[in-house]
Amino acid sequence: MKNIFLLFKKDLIRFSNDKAAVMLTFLIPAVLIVIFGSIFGGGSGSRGKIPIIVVNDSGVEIADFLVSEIDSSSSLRSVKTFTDENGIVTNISEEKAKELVQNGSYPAALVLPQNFFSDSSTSLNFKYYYDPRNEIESQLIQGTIQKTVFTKIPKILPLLMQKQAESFLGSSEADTFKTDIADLLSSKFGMDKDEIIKSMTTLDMTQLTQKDESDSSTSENFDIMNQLIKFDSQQLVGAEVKNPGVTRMVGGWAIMFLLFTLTGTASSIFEEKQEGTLKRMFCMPISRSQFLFAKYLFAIVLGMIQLLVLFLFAYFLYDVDIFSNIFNLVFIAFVSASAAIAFGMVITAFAKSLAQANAISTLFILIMSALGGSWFPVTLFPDWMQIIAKFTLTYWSVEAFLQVLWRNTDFVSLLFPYVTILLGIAIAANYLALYLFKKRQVI
Amino acid sequence: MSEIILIENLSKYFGKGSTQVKALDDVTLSISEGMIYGLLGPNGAGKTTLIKVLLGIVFPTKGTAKIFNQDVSNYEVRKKIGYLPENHKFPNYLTGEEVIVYFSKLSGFEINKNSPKISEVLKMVNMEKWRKTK
Repeated sequence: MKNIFLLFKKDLIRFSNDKAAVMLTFLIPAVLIVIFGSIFGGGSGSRGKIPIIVVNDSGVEIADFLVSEIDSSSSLRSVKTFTDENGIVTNISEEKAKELVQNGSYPAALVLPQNFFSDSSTSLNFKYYYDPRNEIESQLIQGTIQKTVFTKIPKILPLLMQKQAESFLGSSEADTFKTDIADLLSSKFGMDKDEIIKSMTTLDMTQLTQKDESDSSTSENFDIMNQLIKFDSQQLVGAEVKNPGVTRMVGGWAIMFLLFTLTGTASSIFEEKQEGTLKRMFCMPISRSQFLFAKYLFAIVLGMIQLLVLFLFAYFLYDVDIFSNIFNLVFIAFVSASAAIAFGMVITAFAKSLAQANAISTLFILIMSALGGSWFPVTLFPDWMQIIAKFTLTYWSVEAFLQVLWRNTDFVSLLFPYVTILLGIAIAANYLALYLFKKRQVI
Repeated sequence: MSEIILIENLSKYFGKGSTQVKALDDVTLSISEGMIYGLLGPNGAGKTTLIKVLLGIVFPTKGTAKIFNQDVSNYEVRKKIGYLPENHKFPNYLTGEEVIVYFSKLSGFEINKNSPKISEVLKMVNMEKWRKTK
């Protein structure tokens, strides 16, 4: 037993002295739990509001009420105005809303048109323009709008059902039906016949917006609800994308694996040191800058090949269209690979050993992937997390790949901000790596 | 005779503060053409560090070191130097002949796998049987 205890103690000391192992064991899971918790509502922060353009052209009271309810939604942030390049703030029109969704400024626009609702309406008519580049986000928006209607103005639904019945039966038949019902209720329950008929025919906002205690949004009611609340949906972007699911996620996974591969390539300097081949190399007439440049070149070529294989898999197996914008795809792959290897070089220059480099890179890659949108749409994050996301290279790479594959963006539009920021990260990280290499005499 | 190696006030320190190690402290030395020079000293005297500074493997803290009248930071000077480091290993992903070609090319020699020079040098060290082995 004593020997077992001594051997146990040995393993404990060995583990606690291995900072890399401790970091991988405790720090990474802790950080990921915080990120997941914040996204799915169990953490310290609440989920960020999804921005949506709201255009109210209807001019009816019920529409104003509904818009005010959307304004106070905990899931959506309604946007009604637009600031142009001259700083002039204008109300967003339906056409402008379509343009802003099309260019990726907002994921969706809800229009309450002139025919939204009138005394003769048999349904509430919405126009819904959307860019489903993030499926979860898109479903959340539509679900929230429907829920708002069902829960905030539940009394409108029976009224709309009556109107539909009227249009089906004809006006005189419907009037006879109402009178018969009123007679029946009046004779059996002593209710005022005129009041009953009035309540079935007139629109009273106070009654309409009175909250119904029953749950109107249960699944059995859903089909009826869809008849009464009509969404004229129009997908403005990505409608021609053959496999939206894979097209959305392929860029995120691409940059994550690229980071793992190229960080490994950079930290192979430690392996060469351990093997003894690095010292042999530096006895030769080669400069350190030549050595590093060759490393960069190899990493970029390797990264490009890896991405090519990954995208070809996506093309052959899932029909992801990689060829209609192939030049821009290759260009973004190159820029992403440049930023990824620069990140790997910083880690290598900062670390003291291969184990440390592996632990630090795993920590940062997983955090950057979670924060940067490789796993979930960034718009689902709390606001503070969305700000942090923009400081990760994964965010800009994921966005750039989405621009190419989902939006078919042209070369000039990619240059700013995506390419500029990714190349900026690459240059800044390279400078930092070279400074650390020199200062710490890593090589 | 001209000076092949010229070292002036060369120092190399490792670490900082109380844990700092002075591997070389103000070394001045010159070695002329044709001399055979033996560098002797106890363990930790700085022999290897001095050689590493001359080869540019480590950078000096202060002072200068020149070989063939060129500062050791100029990597071109290493074309004229042969050095067998301690605990030396060849890349295990290269065969015997590939190692020779690889390091020869890095030294500026035009050579390929079919060059008769490869057989010649392998024969010289009795390692012909490892020519195709990694």
